[in-house]
Amino acid sequence: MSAQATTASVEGAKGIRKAGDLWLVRALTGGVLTAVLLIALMTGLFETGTGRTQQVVLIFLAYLLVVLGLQIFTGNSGVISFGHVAFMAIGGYTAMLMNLSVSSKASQIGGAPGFIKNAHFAFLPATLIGVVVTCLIALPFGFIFARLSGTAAAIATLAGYEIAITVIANWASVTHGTFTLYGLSTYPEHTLFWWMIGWAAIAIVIARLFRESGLGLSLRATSSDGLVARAIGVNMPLARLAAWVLSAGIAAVSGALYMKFLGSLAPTTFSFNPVIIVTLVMFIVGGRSVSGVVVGATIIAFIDEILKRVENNLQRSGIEIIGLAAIFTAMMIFRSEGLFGRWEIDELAVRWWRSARGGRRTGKEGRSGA
Amino acid sequence: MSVVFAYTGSEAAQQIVNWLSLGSIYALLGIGIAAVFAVLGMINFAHGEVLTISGIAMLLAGEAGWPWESFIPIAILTGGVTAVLMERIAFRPVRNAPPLTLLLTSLGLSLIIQNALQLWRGPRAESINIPNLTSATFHVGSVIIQWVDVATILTTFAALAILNLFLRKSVRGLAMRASADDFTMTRLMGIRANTVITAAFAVSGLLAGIAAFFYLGAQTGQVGYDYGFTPLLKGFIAAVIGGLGSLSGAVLGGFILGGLEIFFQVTLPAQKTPFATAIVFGIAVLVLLFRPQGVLAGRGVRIERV
Repeated sequence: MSAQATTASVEGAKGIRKAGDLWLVRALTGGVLTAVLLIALMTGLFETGTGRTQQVVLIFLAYLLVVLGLQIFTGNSGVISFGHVAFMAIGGYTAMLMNLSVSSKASQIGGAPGFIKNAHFAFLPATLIGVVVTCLIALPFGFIFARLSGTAAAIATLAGYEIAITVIANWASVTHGTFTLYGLSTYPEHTLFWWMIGWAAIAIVIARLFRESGLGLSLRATSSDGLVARAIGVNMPLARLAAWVLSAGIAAVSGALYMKFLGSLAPTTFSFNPVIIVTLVMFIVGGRSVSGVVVGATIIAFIDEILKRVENNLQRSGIEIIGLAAIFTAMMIFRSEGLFGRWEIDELAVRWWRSARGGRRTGKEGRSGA
Repeated sequence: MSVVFAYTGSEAAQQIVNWLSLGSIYALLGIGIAAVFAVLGMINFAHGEVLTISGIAMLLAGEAGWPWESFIPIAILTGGVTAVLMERIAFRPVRNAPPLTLLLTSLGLSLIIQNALQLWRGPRAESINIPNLTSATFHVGSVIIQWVDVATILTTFAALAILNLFLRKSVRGLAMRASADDFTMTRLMGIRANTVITAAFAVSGLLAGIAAFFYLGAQTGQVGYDYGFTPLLKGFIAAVIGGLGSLSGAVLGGFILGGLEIFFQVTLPAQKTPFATAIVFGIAVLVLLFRPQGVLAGRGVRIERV
């Protein structure tokens, strides 16, 4: 019995080391696999669906990016953040200001500084400027937030979110204040779809690469046990800061895509309800894995659309959110570690395949945990 | 404060009355957050909904033709009952879960209540049938004082005095204070956890009811399904400045927060005053970072800071 256990643990340790050497291959394989599944499903839906379905797919993909951004930070560190919708807002507004035509800006925000008023970039550079600006804003906040955990982090990021939204809603000379900033020429739906699915695929691979990288591994270690992780030499503030800035950048892309879809932006676009939904989808449904977040968000979006149609038919607003809240509650009770727990879809597939071949040794690894 | 005194004496006095009134409401909200945090280690995102439900109770009483004086006990009782029911229905089943799960539960509860209220009352804010209390004023020298401010300040101090008596003289109050220090030890001394936690939620709800009467009833004069969010944030900030979990800290935090807001309103140019909120939130973040035990140093508040 004990000999067997020793063999198993030695094999287990070997397995970890071997897998550790191949992290790049594993991350790329897993990431690309998840991305391909998403692309196949979304392209199928988009090409066969009606106009309404296409709209839903586009909104879903934009929001999937902010959820993926949140996964990079919260999914690895275990620290909650309400701030990522604010990064979405900052990225969205910056990209919009860079992408908007000079004449639209002259009529709405005549008082803006010249480098904003006279700028007119194509969509991709505008998005990238949005990412850079968001990351630069995220960096100083990151120094603070990297040192906070649990409840303190929740309140601090909530305060950060409020600061960002307050500034956006009151900086009238640049953001048009509480009014809608409009007049953006949007893309045809097909073009926008390829932009979005492309970015989503990139974000999935980035999230997976970060997760498997040394930094990601040490960040996950700090979330299991912060003191032990630091005792073995993990630089927790650095790992958190890296995840924080990277995730802010992904959230900024989400904002840029969403504003290109809407063609306009207002501070209310980024109200607190999306914050709650994004947080709950990531934390409760997605759990700690990238593919869990992707699959979970897809399922939630599907259910959400059904609930929305029910709500529209009954003409009563509120049903949608109550239905979603019921699902979140059920998830919390029955599967609090998320859809796949801390496992990735490809890891689950490999484990399933091994155990199907009847390996009792590998069956010992088959416990899931948070 | 020096800037306030650079104004004429009467203007300064005016601002001090405003400060005490605003600070009172924030203190009530702050205690509501702190009392629950002290015993459960949870920040309650559904606390704002206690306020909203109290507001809606006043709305219904007004529609039924009841006099506005009756709104005071109605708001307070509704607040207390709502908070206790929340604990019983939503938080008790997950009580032993990690703090983050509790937080997410309260977030989900807040979402459910807000949307159930929207389903019932519709998306628009409705006016509470209450006479315009803010127009009733009296003069002290050249200072114009609103009766409603006086009532807010006096009621808050009375409530705090009663709370203080409760916490110091009654067994449950003592148990609550003991639990804030060491919950496990208090239970080992033979105090039932349910009693203490229910007491904490009752205190938080009753005070939220008072805040609802003055904030939603007397000052805003209306209530909508999402009116609890801003007071919730103020309560968080008050509790954080005072040191999460410390009741006297939350009172102090409420008055500091009110003071900061009035200070920025007086000193910032008119078009910049909306940014005051952002500055106050920034200060709260800095407090969390450098002084997580709050401005009242002393008894250890257990914020996890690995």
